[in-house]
Amino acid sequence: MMMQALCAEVDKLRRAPIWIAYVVLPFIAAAIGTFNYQQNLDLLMLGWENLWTQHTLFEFYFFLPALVGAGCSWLMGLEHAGSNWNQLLTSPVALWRIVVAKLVVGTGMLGVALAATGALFVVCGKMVGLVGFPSCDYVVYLLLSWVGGVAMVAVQLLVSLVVRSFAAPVGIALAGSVAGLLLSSKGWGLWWPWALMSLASNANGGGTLAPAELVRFVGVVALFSIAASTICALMMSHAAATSE
Amino acid sequence: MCALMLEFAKLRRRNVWLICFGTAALCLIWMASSAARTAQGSSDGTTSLLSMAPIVNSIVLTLFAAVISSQACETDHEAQALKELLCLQRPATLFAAKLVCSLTLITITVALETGGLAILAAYKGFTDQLSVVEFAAFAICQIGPTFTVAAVVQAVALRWENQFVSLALGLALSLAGLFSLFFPPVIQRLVPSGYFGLLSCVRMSWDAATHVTSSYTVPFTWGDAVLLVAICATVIAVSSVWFSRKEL
Repeated sequence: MMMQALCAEVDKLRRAPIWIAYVVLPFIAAAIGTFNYQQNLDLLMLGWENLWTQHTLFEFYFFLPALVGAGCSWLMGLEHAGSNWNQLLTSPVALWRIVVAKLVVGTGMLGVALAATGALFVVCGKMVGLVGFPSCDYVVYLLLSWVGGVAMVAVQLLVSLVVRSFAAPVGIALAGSVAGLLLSSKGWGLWWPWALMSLASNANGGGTLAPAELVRFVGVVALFSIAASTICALMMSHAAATSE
Repeated sequence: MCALMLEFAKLRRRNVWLICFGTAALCLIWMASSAARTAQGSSDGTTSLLSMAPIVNSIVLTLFAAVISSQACETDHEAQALKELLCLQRPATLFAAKLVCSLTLITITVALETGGLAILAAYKGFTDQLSVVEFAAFAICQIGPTFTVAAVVQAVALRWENQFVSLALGLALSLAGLFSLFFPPVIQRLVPSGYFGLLSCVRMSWDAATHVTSSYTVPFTWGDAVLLVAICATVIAVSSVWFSRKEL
């Protein structure tokens, strides 16, 4: 049944070219980041590390959370349309399975953006003549960012379930990411779902999570994801009553 | 006026005022966190605040413009009301009403942000206090690029029912606008949200030797203001024609 719910969510995305945005946004960040890197070589040190910060700083702190917000709005917006909630809630699928299916699809879409970020990072690095290939650390950054992103996707799905507007959750995601930036600077980023992804990405070049923090990081991600998904499933049962 | 009131009526219960207040608050909190690092009674505190504003606004106000434009158009798409509406209203009237609605919300948000900045500067006791006219000029320079972004996003939001497209465009403009601030003016002029930096009368310079960032004022660039008005007028004209010829 879980697989069927997942397949249904994937089917809903068929012929909806929203994945383009998940590739184009990292592409814009990579193109401008590389140009900026080239222009400031007198200030920056030649190497993969500085190119990484130029590519990912703004993308991970502000724009990827907002894009995730738009993606989650899309996933929930499909159900908000017409009487889809009534149909969905009368289908023989447990609510938690629907939430998990949406969470998996949302996380998969984030994975597309992160994979594009990684691929463009290598391509742009070779184009500007960086020696060799980036270390495996960058794969770890991307994987940890993906793990951190799960919590953000879960919370954004909840926001998009509560707020029926398509656009408003995107604004909430941006507000959350800006608040995450401020909280991270105070050392509280680990307790804020919108900051978890950027915290793990080493986008500011300040280093990624220490091994001791890693367990806490995964625990907090699991906590936010389970809490948001549970509330989401509980609220879904009332969604039909509130749908227009 | 009636069409404008109708647009606001459609946005009832859509929390647009909350979005306006939230956006202004977000900008102010961000800048206040920066101002907290500036010494009380600093001689260039207000100038530093205003030099940071284009960076914050290119991210937040650009996305805000995309959100409100998208919301204004989403109401009609969601209710599949365009066909009926355009039997009662001229396309140009409906189009203009949505634009004026966005402009009103943008003006209020920027006014709140500017007022908040003035209060913040006074609270911190910065000695380089600006006059009301200078703050008003600052506000107008922030409204211009935000409104242009709103016009661009509205063109897309009316064209395609799927609001993901308009929001993705808003995000792309926001990202491009932010990055363009670190590029030469020629590149900034290509992006509507790049005009936050071009129209700002306060610029930042970073001394590589001393690692000190300082702010300085420059004369208002009338040429860029005229260029922005021309871009905005072109976008509105093209998208208005586009909308009036749209098959419903």
